Amino acid sequence: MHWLFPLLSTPTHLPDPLRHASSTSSRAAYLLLLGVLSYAAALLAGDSPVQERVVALRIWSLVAAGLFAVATPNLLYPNRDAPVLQLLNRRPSRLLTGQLRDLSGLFALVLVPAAVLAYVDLSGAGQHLGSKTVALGHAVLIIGGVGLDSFLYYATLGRRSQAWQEGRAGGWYDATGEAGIQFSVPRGLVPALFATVRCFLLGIGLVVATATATERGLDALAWVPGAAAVAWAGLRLFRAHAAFDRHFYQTNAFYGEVLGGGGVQAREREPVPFDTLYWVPARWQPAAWASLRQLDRVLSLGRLVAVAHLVLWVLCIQAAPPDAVAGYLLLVFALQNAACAALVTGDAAPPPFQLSLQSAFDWWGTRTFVNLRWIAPHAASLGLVALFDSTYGWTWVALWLGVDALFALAAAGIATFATEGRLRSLYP
Amino acid sequence: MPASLRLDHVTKQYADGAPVLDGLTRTFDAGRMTMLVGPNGSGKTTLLRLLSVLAYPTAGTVRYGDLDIHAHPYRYLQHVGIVHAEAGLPEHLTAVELLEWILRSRGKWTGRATERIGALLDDLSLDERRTNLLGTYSSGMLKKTQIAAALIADPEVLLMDEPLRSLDRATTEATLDKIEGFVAGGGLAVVASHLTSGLSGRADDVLRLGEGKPV
Repeated sequence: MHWLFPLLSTPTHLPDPLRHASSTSSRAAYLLLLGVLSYAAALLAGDSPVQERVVALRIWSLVAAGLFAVATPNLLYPNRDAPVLQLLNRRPSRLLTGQLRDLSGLFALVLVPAAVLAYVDLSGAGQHLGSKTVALGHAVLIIGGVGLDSFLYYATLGRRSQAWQEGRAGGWYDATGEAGIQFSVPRGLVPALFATVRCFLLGIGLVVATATATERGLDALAWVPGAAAVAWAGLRLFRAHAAFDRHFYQTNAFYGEVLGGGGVQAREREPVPFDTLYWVPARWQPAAWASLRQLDRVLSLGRLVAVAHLVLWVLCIQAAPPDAVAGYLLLVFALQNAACAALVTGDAAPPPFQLSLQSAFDWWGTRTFVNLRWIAPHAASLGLVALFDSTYGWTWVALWLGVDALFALAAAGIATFATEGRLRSLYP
Repeated sequence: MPASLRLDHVTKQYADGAPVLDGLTRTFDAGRMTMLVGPNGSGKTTLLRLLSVLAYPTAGTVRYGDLDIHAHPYRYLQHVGIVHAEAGLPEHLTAVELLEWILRSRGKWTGRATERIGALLDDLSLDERRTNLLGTYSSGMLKKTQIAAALIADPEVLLMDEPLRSLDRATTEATLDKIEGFVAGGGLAVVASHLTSGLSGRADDVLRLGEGKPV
């Protein structure tokens, strides 16, 4: 997913060691996503009163915590530039800042819409500036604290993950297999799953603590949770920076093994049988089948989709404003469909192989149906909401399924344009 | 004087599978070239990945002198030049720019650096296309660039995985001469290659993997 979050900074004299440098199309995709999120935030903000903005920023902080909990390791590891970084032999502190810079795109993706939520006001941009700034400040601290914490936690997880992967740690987990409750991921990724929960819980804790202090009128105290999280993460970053070379190479080595090297464990996940893809047009079935098998081995998308719908139900049970639900669904559908980016990396889509298989148009169709794989679960979940919540009806369900289909088509098109489209121009 | 690389009871396994390397103890001395041989899957690349800190051992330690290389990769890599089996080079740089970048990044840029880069690329027969983008190179030209990138910063340890793959006869000879000269100057070289005909006559030691205990 590196292409999704191109670096925002400009090198001083020579390019960064990006083997697959961000293309114009991938930058456009990133900007498009940022634009969609910001536009959704602006729609949500509208002429809302300050209190609704405060609530919206808290919900957005929770979404951001979920994003950092899930996306951080996927963005950073394995780092394809590691061989070049070795040739350059970057200092530990530069490895650290380089990885933080790799994550800056994600920070921008959540902080820009947060600022839009706070300040875009159709009833008067200059009204309640102080209150809006305070609400945004709380959100920035929470997001910053969770982001830095998740970064550091994942960056230093390599040693423990490798021990789990090789069966030297986590002995208790083996017993859960007999009860049939193990996760369907390689064993070494289990600590990362726990880290996901940990980071998300941290986000929830910070939001709840900040909200509680605010609601009780303890304005000064409301700054403490977020500021403490940032300070704690900053202190740990400072402590870790001198030995960050070991953390970087060890965590990178682990992810290289478990996701791309000799440790790939297809056997731990039931692969998609060919005949279950009866709903895909015959001409795209073989490529869709191969694509889904690859995607399932790289990304546990099913679990993420399930979690996303759980959050949706919680939002609806809590009677969140329909605009907030709409913004949330936009984000979920955008990210779910953007996952097809994992299919266009150099490993998954080697240029000569891609060129020999089928046309760019066919790849577009293939990836569209790969993305549409989740439309039935989406329909079921949205249907449940419509059934039990009178705020939403069947038109609402149909509308969002249409949005999902459009996103599927668009994301597949962008991914295909960025790979096969580019290749066609290179090898006419 | 370069130090030795010492492996103490190094085991490497992937997931819970059988170890690829099992309790390997071995010293690679300065001033010697060791050739790694063995069938596919015998652990040659795994051993080179361990020595280049792209993999971490399941058990055991690897020391360069007194330095635990996996605990202090930055300090260790200051002494190392690496040729990986796959190129993995930035497509939007030229070979000359890449070498310049390595020298500057490692604090070894001098007034004569440009001449050194030119001479090294001359030795490896990388022609005038050295100023073209790496993304346009053939596999042989990429391999030459990798070899130059490994050598340009005057390393004390040279780790090479299939350095002769895709090279023409003249460049193969030039590369072998380079490695030989490097070792004669006190360098420590560990080379894995299936193209053993040129190497076997020049290697000081041979480490056989995948045939029971390494010998």
